[in-house]
Amino acid sequence: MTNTSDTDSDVAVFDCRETVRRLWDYLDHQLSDAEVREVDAHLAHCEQCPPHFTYERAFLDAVRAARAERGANARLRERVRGMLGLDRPDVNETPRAAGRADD
Amino acid sequence: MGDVKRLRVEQSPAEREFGEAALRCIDDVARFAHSLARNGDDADDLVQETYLRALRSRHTFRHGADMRRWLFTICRNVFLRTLERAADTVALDGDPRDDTYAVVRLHGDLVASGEDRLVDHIDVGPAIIRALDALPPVFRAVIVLVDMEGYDYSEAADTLGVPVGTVRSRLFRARRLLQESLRTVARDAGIGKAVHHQHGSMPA
Repeated sequence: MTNTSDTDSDVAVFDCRETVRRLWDYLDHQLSDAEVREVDAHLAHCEQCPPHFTYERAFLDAVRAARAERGANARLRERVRGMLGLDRPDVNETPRAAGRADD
Repeated sequence: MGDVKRLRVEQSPAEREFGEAALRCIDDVARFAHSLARNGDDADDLVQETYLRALRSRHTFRHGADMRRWLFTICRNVFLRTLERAADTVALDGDPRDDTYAVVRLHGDLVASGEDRLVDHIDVGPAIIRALDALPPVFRAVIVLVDMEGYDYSEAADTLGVPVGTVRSRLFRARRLLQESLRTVARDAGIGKAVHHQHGSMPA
């Protein structure tokens, strides 16, 4: 990465290091509006940093998608259903077709 | 762990509504329990004990409240009381953003090795779960709550009983560790090689 900075506008633009240090805060919507503008201003003219943001956003998407890989297995589900006194499947419940993949 | 037999046969409509709402959260609770417990059996025990205590405490659940969040809190409390209390503490020094900088450097390595398309691979889901399982519980928990269940930092902090800043620092470290672990798991599973071959990149 390069240490670039921009003095062409009223927005103080972070250099690459400061920008990527704010990557997670940016993707998690934890920055103030002013900080978001500063990061956006850097990303708009930097060639090195946007791919990092794109990749980490894809990583978070992949982790979110992996949520479907794990849940309650069928045996556990039935035991809990019995505990709750629910003998019949609930029509509103979304069944898991394959149960937990790692058991 | 606990007595898991059904507590009653006849139910009022409210009790059935409670049970059905609770059961709809079981996949979420199971994921969270897995993030806390050492293995699948412990996680299943934790889920059962969570539901048993929820059933006993259902009079404290406010109608219209967030059932999933309520069950998560019970699950965490059960875990802390019965299983691995010591595992819920970890000291993280330094600025959490240093971990952010580290994942960017790792991404640079992945680009150089041609493994940067790993996250788009069709089999990355199971690899992520295996990589997640390799992390210490405190890191698994924040990944599950924030990145899988969609909690914001404040909600995760409430669920885990830690400050928001602790969630943030653990999350940043967890994502770094998960990406490092994912790279190893994926290489062991041959995903990295497939990516190399598919995209014609130079090997690491």
